[in-house]
Amino acid sequence: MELPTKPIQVQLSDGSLIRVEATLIGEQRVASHTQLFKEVTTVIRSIAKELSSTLQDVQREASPDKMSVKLGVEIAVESGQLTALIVKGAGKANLEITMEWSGRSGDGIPTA
Amino acid sequence: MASQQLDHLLQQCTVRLSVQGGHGTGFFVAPGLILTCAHVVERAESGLVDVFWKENNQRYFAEIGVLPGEPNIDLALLKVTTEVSNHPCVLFDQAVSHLDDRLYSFGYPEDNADGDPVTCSYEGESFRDNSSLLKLKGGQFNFGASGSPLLNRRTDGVCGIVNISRSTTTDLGGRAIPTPEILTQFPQLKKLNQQVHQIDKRWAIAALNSHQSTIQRSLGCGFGAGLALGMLRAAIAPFFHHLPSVDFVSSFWQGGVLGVALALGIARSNKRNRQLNRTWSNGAIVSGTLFFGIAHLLVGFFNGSFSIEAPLVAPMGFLAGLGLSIALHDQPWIGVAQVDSSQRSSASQPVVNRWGLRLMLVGLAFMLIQGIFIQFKTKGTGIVIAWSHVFYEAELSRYATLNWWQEFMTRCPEWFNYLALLDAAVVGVVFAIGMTFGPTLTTQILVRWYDILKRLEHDE
Repeated sequence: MELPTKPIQVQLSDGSLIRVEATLIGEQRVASHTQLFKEVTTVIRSIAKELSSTLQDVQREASPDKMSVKLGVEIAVESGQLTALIVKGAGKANLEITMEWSGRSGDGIPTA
Repeated sequence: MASQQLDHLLQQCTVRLSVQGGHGTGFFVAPGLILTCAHVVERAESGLVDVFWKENNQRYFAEIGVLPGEPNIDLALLKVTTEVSNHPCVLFDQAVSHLDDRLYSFGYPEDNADGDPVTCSYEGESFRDNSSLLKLKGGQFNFGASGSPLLNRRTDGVCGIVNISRSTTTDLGGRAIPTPEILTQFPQLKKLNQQVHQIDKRWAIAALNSHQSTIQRSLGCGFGAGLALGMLRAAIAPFFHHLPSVDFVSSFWQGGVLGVALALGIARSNKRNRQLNRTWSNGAIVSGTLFFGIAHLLVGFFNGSFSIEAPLVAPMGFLAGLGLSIALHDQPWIGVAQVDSSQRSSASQPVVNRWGLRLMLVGLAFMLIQGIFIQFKTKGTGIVIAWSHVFYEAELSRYATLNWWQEFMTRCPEWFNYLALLDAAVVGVVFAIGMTFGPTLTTQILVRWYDILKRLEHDE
């Protein structure tokens, strides 16, 4: 079932207000508060941090020459709090990870 | 009939609470105390909340007084820093809500921050974070509705406070913290709330009004009008104590019967013409005329002087009934005056003007009827009719046979006839007051009676 969306007022760090179409997740506490966009950027930073540490492990173990991660982030409101929602992109995946090896000798295809 | 209904009183209890970058709803629970949800005021700077009370269009400040000991309980009690005069308070209802109870809520959601109602029904008890919540279905609670009181229309009490919406975009309902939980968290509130309602009877009266049928209200009108006229008549009776057939008791009941007849005539037919409430109601006028005229004939019949009086009394009764019905049929006014008499706090309504205007109209109607009689009758009969006006003719037509009365009439100057106009105006005003206060009076009696019954129950 598609989650309902609603334009909500969001305040940026410099104090300016914008309206963002946000996805409403589940039940909400219904005080009418201007949400701070910082709550979303903080989550995005955490996601990036989490992913990068995982990818560093992958790099160490599998040594791909090139890696890219594609993720879709939607702004969501859950229990009255702003948050980021990782959504599916064009395909079926939430996270689209691409790894490339250039085929140099010695490295070979990783076994794990 | 427009009477003070609970939904309206509940609105008057609510306030819009604004904090840095947001708002929610709260409501008065005791003098100067506002209950809301903790998450509504969590961003309040230095603990101060801006309070807007729509009822008198004023802004106040409130400080966060008490928060519950348990952090997961979404409640906050605010104390207004300046005095708010004569605000109503909700009545807490600790009774368990029944499945499918119809509920009414009023709050200040962001899509209509000037105030918006929600109706929903009770789906049952639900649980979250070790506490129970009322689950509501069938109403749309939007952002800003948190802190709205939830009125149970079956028990006439506030059964909870809204804090969660199950969908802000559809009418999926919401959840509310039940009253027993509120009173557990703020035990002092129970006593404070009870104390308010021991003195301030607005809620009890509105609750009774909500359930009173048109027939009950009509009977109230009849009771009030009958009592007022009967008392007036009885007060005048001693001045005629030396005349035959005039005594306190008979004067009282005759005046009373006529008053009741007219009031019921107008009120009863109003029910049939409910859709015409605010326009001319022909049914009310016809019914009022018939009731009043027939009541005159009945009074004459029970006096044993039907054959003598009927030709004089009957046309007078019917004509007077017609005039009075035209002046009085407008029931919504009676309802409005009834509300105002029980609640004088509403500064926004020009109560006195409306009241004064209507009383004047009824007084004028009586005077006009009297004037018609005076103009169309001979001097002697004119005085008889004038002095007997619509309520005294039964006895006074007999007084005409007395020598002193005939002498009085022949010596009486012409202008004396017109004193009767003043007399008629007084009767008219007394009648209108009686009819206006009748329903409130009966409600008040009922409220006191319920109080006594409850106290007895409690003592047992």
